[in-house]
Parts: sequence; structure tokens; C-alpha cells
Amino acid sequence: MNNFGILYTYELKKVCMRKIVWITMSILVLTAVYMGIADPLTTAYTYADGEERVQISGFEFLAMEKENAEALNGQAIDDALLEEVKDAYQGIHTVEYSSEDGTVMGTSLTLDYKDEEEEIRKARSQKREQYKEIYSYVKMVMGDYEAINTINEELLYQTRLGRVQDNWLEQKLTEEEKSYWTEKENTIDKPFVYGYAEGWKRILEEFLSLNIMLFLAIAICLSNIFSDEHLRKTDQLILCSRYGKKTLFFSKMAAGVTIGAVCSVLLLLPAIFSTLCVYGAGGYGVAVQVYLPICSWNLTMGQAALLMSLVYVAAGIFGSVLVMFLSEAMKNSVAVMGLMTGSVIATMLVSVPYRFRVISQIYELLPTVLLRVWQLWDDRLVSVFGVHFTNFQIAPIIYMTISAALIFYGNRIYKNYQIRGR
Amino acid sequence: MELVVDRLSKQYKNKIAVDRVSLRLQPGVYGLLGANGAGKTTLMRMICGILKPTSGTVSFDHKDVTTEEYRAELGYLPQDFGYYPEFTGQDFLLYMAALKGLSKPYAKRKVKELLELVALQDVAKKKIKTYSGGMKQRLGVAQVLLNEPKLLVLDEPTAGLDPKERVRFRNLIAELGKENIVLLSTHIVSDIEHIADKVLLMKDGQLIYQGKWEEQNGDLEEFYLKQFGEESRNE
Repeated sequence: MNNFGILYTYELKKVCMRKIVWITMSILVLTAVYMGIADPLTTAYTYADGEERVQISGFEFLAMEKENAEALNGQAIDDALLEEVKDAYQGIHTVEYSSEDGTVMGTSLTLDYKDEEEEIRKARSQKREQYKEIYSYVKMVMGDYEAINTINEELLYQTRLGRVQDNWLEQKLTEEEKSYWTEKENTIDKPFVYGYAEGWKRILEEFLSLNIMLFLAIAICLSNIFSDEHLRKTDQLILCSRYGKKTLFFSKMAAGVTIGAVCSVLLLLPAIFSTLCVYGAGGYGVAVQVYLPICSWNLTMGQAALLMSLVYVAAGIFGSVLVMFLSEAMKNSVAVMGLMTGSVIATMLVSVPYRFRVISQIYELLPTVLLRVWQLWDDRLVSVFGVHFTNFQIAPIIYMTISAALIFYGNRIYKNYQIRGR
Repeated sequence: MELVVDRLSKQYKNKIAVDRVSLRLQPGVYGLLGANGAGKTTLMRMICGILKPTSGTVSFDHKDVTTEEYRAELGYLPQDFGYYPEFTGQDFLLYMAALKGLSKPYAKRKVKELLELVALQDVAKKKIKTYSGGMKQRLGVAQVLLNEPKLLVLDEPTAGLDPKERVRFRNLIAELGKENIVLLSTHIVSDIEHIADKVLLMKDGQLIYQGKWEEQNGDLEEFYLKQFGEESRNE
């Protein structure tokens, strides 16, 4: 018996007894909940109803949009559906608008109503609302507001594939990588079947903010786990006790990893729960390409969210080991928090161009960079002994490997620490 | 039972803090005297395995200072150390007991017994941040005794204690010295006179005297002042 369990419990207690941990986590959990409801809560929509201007809340607007979108659930995005959308959006076109001196300021979308009566105009407007999701999808794939006028199934899917291939070109994919993704593309069922999965899409987008919140939480909770022992001068009692050098180090690490994993779950679950409560949990099985057209993974929206959630927890564990290592190496919790906060901000601002392939790919694997929705169409692969891994597949393996190395090296620093003049 | 310190040295860049100190200590109380900067704390830290010597070895009953077995026999009270302010006195001792390898049921019994010994049983469940300096020092003494150490290294153990408590702890240390090796560092010469079986005098990192004080003629305090008078005047 080496009292690992008892020491582990006490280390958890040391972290959880700090007021700043409770304050930080409470604020971050509330923020995570807020993220799910922020959009409908903070917006309102105004529209003309005859002579009158009517304003509705974001929640009412969302309910209307959801009702219209869900009416399309299960419909394949094929020629038949595209014809219906084309009919609804008949005559849509962009017009330029200019300033007083004639300078073109931009374009806006408009419709030719000719001399239609109010009733007909209203009916057409309602019809457009019904097909709005498909219209938006066509616009997203084609990159053109007017594309609906000439669209057909073949053109839509060919254009999508063209954009996927443009993405490969931009990312400087090798022939081997291209054939890997071509194989993946062939496994995706087409035409795509529409389903309302706004909730899952929002969750994928929320990972960017959740990740920043997670690293701040970990930095605040764990930056003092080793440094405080030096600061409080309790290190001299610990290091000369029987289990103070080896067992205590691993107990602290285990407690920190638990805190990291718990923090990630505590932030993730409220965000998922509030988002799905507002937008609905439907659409788990909808192909990811319906919302993220240039993604070549054969995944559903729910699976994509699950995959990112798992990587998120792995990033939390890696982040906690990194912070604890820095806490022992730097012996200064403020310096660790500063370093972590600075790194999070830096990775928000810095991007490495695709032309620096190796550096760029390593950079994209950083936990504060990886968990962004657009990484789902970063098609660069990592080859290990001939087996190809995507960034999302290799990242948890890399995180765990680096964590093991940090634990090993951290233990050496810890047990060799010398109590000098004080 | 024997603590063997063999040609132990510690050098920092251009300063020798401890210079080839050799000792063989059997059960008893050893009073370590010396002016500030004489190397007492450095020597004690090396004996406790928390400071690596530049050269030389430390072993207790053939167990090297770097081993877990050595640390299992050790009780150390540093001169200046901290606590976990949010822990209660009882929590702190239970935590230290786990670090020292005591089983949970035994630790609970031992902690209760030691809290009574150091007269902290009434405040055992109060947070350490509410304790006075003397109470914290008593808590420190209690943690030393948790694992019933055979080798006790006490750096200024009576500092911060009121005169009544000082006498109590002096007696306790004398009692512990009957069966264990107690190495005690203090500036209070009378403490050494009362309880130390042998005196170790350090100056500039070297042991300038070791042996029973009864063997000498004269007063220890006078001898101490004579040896360290110059340093004392300079401080």
C-alpha cells in the first residue's frame, strides 16, 4: 500500500478548496450555457405585414425557421427538390446599388414582383421561407446568390466536388492523400438527404470558444498545484517524507488530469444541453456535408460533434498535464497562467499558411487550434508506418504521447529539486 | 541504530557551506550550535535528503539518504515552513500521515493522540489560517512524530513557543532522545544545556567541536559566545 488513493483525494481537495476555482468555473459554466441561447436571446426580427411593421423575438423567429426547415426533413437534395426551390425563388437576382455620385457600393438581392397582387406576393414569400434552407445550401455550394435559377442536381454535386478538389489543391495534398480522400468521397451517399441539424452545427461552431474557456479554466485551477508547495515552503516536508517524491507526484498528476477532464465535461455538457434545448436535438444522423459541404468525411452531424467532444476531453487532459508540468518547471503559478493565456490569445491571432506544409500541420495540431469547425475539412494526413491518420485521429495519440513524456520529465525535475537558501 | 555522515560537503559556486563534516550518531539528543550562516541548516537539509551534497554520504542503519526506507525512519521539522491554510489541523496531520505511509485507521488514531500531546485537540477541526504562530509550531512538531521516527531532525523546534510550551517540548525531546537519534539545532544555549547529550559546534561549515559538554570545564554559553562573539558582534 502506498496511500496513492488517500493522497489523490487530498490533492483534489487542495484544488477544490480554492475560492478562485469555484468562481472561475461558475462563470465559465454560465457562459457555456449562455452560448447556446445567446443568438435568439439577443436578436429580434422586424418584417412588413401589409402596411404594418411587425417585430418578433429571436425565439419566435427561430421557431418559424425550424418549422419550415423540419418540413423538409428526409428529402433528398435532388433534381425534384431543386426544381421546387427554383420555382419558389423564381426571378431572384442581384442588383447593384450606388452612391449619389454613381459609385457602385455593392449588390443586393431582389425579386421581380411585376404587378402581382398582395395575396400572391405573400404566398410566394411563404414558399420561399419553406425552401430557404435548400436555397442557402445551393448558394453556399455554388457561391452565387443567383445560382438557384440554373441549378440542377448534377451541377450542384459536380461543383461541390470541384470545391473539395480546390481545397485539396490549396492544402497542397499529395497524390496519396488525394486518392485517400477520393475513396472516402466515394463512400458518401449522394444525393444528400436534408435534415434539420442546426443544434449540432452550432455545437461544432461552439468548440472554438469552449476550447479557449477550457484552457483558461485549467490554467487557473492547476497552475499552482506544484508551485504552491515551493511558495508555501511545504516542499521540504513533502520531499523528505516516505511517499513525497514518487507517489505524491503521481497522485498530483492523477488529480490534475481528473480536474482537466472534469473541467472539459463541465463546460461541454451545459453548452451541448442549452444548444440542443434551443435548436432541437434532431439531425444527429444527417450527413455532415449538408451543413459543411466541402468536408469529405463520411460522418453524420452528431458523429462529428461526438468526435470533437472526444478530442476536446483529450485536449483537456493534455492541457492539464502541460499546466502541471509548467507549474513544477517554472515554480510560479502567475507565470504559468500568463504563458497559457498568452498562448491561447496568440493561437487565435496567428495562422500558418498552407505552403509551409510541415510547420502549418504541426501548428494545426495544437489543442488551441485544432478544435475549430473548419478543421473538419483540413484534409492533410499524417502517415505513421503507412497508416494514414487525419488531424482529429492523430491528435489524441500525440497529446497522450507528449503527456507521458511531460510526466516523465516533470517527475525528474520534481524529485531532483533541491531546497536551497530561503 | 546509527546515523553515519561521512565527509559531507556542500559547495555553492565560491562558498563552502558545509566542509567535510563526518559524524556517527547513536540514540541521544545532539545539540547543533552555530552562528547564522555556519552551515547548520544546510547540514540538516542534506541529512534529510532534500539537498544533494557536493560530496560525501549520509546513511541510517546502512540505508542511503536517497531511499524511501531512509525517509520512512525520518522526522523533520524545518526552521521555516508553510501549511495549507484551507486545511484544518486534523486534515494537515492526516495528509502528512498518508505521505509518511501510515494506514488510514492507524493514522486516525495517531493524529488524535498527537493532537492531544501538542494540546491542539480543541482546535483540530479549525482551519490552520486561524492558528497562532505557536499553534502552527506545535502542529509542526506533531507532524514530525506521526511516523514514530527513529531519526529526528529539528531545526529551531522551540521558536515561537511560549516559555511554558518550551519547557514542555524540551522534556518531550529529551524523552524522544532516549530511544531515537535527535539532532536539534537552536540558538537557545540553555535548551542545549538542558537536554543535549552531546554538543556539535559548527563554524564556517566545519565542525569545530563534538562531544559531551560535561567533559568540558566551564559554561557552554560562555564558550559559545567566545567562539562566535565576533560573528555575533558583526550581525
